[in-house]
Amino acid sequence: MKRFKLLFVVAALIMALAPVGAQDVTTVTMWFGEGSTLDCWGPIMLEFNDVDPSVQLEIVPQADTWNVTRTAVAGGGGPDIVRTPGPSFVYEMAQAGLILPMDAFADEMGWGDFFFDWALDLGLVDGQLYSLSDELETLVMYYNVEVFEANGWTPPDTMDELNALAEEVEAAGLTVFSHGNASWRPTNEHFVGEYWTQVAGPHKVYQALSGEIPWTDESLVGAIELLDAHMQAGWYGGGVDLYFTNDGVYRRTSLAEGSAAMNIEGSWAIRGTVDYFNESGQTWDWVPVPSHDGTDYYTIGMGNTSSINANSQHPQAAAQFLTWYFSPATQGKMLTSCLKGPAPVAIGEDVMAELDPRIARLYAELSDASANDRYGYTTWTFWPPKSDVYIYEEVERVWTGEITAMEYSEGLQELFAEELAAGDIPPIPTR
Amino acid sequence: MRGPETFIQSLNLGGRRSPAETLLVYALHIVVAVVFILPLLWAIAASFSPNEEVFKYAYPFSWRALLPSNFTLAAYENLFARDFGVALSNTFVLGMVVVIAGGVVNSMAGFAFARFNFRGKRLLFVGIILITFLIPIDLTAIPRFILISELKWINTWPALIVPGLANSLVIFLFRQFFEEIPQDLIDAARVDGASWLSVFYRIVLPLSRPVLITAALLMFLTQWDSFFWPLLVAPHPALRVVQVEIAISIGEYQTLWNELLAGSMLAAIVPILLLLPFQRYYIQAITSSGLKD
Amino acid sequence: MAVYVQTKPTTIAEKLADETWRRKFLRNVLIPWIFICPLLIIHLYVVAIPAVQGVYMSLTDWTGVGMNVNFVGLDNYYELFFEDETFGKALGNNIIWMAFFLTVPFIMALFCAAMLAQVKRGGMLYRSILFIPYVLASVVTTTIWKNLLNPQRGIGAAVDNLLGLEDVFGVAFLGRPDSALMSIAFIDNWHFWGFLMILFLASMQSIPPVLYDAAKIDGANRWDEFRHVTLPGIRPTLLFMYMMVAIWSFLAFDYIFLLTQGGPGGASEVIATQLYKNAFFRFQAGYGAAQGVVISIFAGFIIMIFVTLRRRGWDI
Repeated sequence: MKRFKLLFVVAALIMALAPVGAQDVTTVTMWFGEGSTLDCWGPIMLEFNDVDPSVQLEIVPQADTWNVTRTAVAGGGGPDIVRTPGPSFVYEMAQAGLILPMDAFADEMGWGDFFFDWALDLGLVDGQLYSLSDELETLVMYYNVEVFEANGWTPPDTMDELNALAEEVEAAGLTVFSHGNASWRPTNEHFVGEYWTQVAGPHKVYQALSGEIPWTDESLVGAIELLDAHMQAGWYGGGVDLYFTNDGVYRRTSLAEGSAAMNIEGSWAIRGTVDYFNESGQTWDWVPVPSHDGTDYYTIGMGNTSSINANSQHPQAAAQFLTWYFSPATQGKMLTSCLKGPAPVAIGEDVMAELDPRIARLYAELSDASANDRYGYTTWTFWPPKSDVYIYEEVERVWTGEITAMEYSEGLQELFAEELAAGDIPPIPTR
Repeated sequence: MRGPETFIQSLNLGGRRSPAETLLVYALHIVVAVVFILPLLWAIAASFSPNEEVFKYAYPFSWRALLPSNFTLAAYENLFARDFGVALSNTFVLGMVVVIAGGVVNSMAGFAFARFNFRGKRLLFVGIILITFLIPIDLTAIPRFILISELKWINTWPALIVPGLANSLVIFLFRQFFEEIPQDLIDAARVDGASWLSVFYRIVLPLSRPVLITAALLMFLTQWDSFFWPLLVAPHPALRVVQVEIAISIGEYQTLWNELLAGSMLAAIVPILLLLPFQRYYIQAITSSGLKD
Repeated sequence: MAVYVQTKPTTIAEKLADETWRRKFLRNVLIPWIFICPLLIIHLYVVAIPAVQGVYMSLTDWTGVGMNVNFVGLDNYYELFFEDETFGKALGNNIIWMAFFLTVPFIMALFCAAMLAQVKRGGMLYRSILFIPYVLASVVTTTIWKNLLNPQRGIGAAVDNLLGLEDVFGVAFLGRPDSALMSIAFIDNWHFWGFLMILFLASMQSIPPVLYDAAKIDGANRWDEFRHVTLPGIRPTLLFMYMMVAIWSFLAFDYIFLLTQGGPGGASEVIATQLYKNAFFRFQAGYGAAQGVVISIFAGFIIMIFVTLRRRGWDI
């Protein structure tokens, strides 16, 4: 009897050695983490499986997706389609030979026909195409229409107007911006990036990014000082310490219910904003983030990128999926159905017409701005990785009064110069 | 020392108590228990609420937060619709296999360390116990992952099982326990002509029930809590384990709080059920395992 | 014994022919290795070799992506100790963390265990209640407490409301540099101390009642009893847990990362959170590995202290 038990254990172990899931057709795997996003995106992405029955997409929901992906890919495993949070991650993976150059696929499948040129350039590493950018993003200033109407306010165009308005908002007993970083600490970098762009101007930022001027340039430091002043005045969530404990739920509810007047946030927040305003029954709208002179600047960023794993058994099939996924038709459908930030591809006018006019206007303005030299840069897309972490981690020390804006900028300059010299910098569209 | 002395005296450590004192002790315990259990009640209530209403009474906090706002089993139903059952049974099977195979491997090693003298024993013991004990997992994850993928074990059971087998704390417990077994017992069996393996199997193991239970608990609970490693080496949904399945409820933009809490409640039941009846063994082992050598 | 030494065989053939030598060989070489081999193979592959590789990585400029690395000697360690000022702060926070966890939970656990040792009815239920937080996933514990400590909507705000106060208890504990680390420690302790109490309780219950009776006869009051009977009775447990908690203090990670990610402004940064950020966000995995090695060395140092004390005759 005991021997039999032992045999059973051995048999179980041997059986366990067999891998799960034998594959007949070519299956392209993709890992995906965002719980509720996947509910809407997933079914649309799986429509790919009707296109060509011999190539099937498998979406694997995954916790902690990016960390698992990078470790798995580094170790020679991982999904066929490798999604990263941005170009600097692509750079490191391409350098390490973990993802494939896709120029041949781009030619063969005509990616250049629907991608904007500058967007394809974002995926270049040493002159070769390694990634396709997804989820075009910008930051705007959302506001609660009812609150503004009730108080007779108009959305500010310039920083001076913002200043004046903020005083009135506070006098009315409301919070200026419904902000906080408890749910996503890197939120900090959104404001640093916006203030640089809106206060110093995108040209200054470009000069600093290309190494022509240091981050300690007076205008750039001034932007950080202004941000700090606004932070200290309690505009952001009601106070510095509250900013650190306000979470995502607070950010959405306080704006939607009118206890806060405005919110500088990314276009990715549209879906949540719509949901919360539907619940509260109030109205949202947006304006460009106020700038020093009233010019409408839009910073441009990418939510994530897609590449093909160097370990993929069927890169051709993976490229086939990417072609379908990034096509204006698929992207348009995901934009209208899920309010997904579209990939930087030419989406038809008819699709835009289906959208809520406020959202359609946002994307129209964004493309207008990028065509007319009014675009800026988001830190997570265009800054090298160590500088990026520095930007959102260390700025907290400015806000807690540990260091000055100048010391912050000096630290950034030192790190940035190192990374620039080492060439660890994502491709920056020339102006 | 007058201060703490009288204070602690008043709390009556040991000895007879007046009814008033008894009341005080119980009252204190009830206060501690209430403070302790409040957050848990909220979590349990929230797991029976719709996701939109999870924070309804927690913001601002009111007593109603301790009751499900709109009783529903939706969170639990969604969990099981999403293969939570598979994850539960996977983790259970994984735990059992690791307990059995790991038990064999670690107890044999523990026996050798306890009862034999051989060259390099000390070096091996220090090497095996201390290295495993001290090196943070993050440091070894990538090299280990590469090994597993070279063996073509990604998305297979061995990738989950094999790294869980060598457990320094368990070896340590076994060694500690086996050292205490009287030499006479072993000598007697040896004189009767028993082989070492049969001494181990027939004499030592039957005497080692407490440490076997402890080791099994330790190994099982370690597997039950494991998160990062299974996530890394077995991303296939058919092989998913409990903690990973729970974490999927946390989205980047939106978290399914009710499912997250429901999953955690279910996941917490197993360790509680295991630890309560066996806590005596668990504690005995923990407390007897001073680091010797 | 002396007889065997005299007839000690010299050649292999003689050795194999000699019964005594064969038995000694079996007893001292072959059998032990048979017992150890299964573990050794597994251990080498999944623990030892990866660990050695990890230590090697700490001597390189490894980015954490891919495997092309350059050997940089002790540069990472030099930077860690002489150039990186945030490391000193993180180390300081680890030490504060250790000071907290070597006192607060121990006092709470000793106190409650001493009281609970007297309670006869309902003890099991009570223990179970205090034990639940220990088995809850850290994600859940931190979520609950983030909400409870929220300055506007948490318990503090509710207390303020009740008492008609404003912003007295409703403080952003996790958002202030001066209170963030201690608040996290408080939350981690909420989850941890029940475990410690149960250990102490079990240990106390194994103290022979005779000792208490003897103390009473000697006219000891309850404080004396606690000092002279209870404490010495649970000493091995107490000291062992002291060592374990000291080691764990250097590994502290999950609660801190889940609650503040080391913020605000690095106020709650510890070595392990820095390690994580270096390895996963800054592409400085080699540097992170060096931090991992440093953590290990600290932990090893703590063990050495205890081992030395034991050698000196302490009963641990």
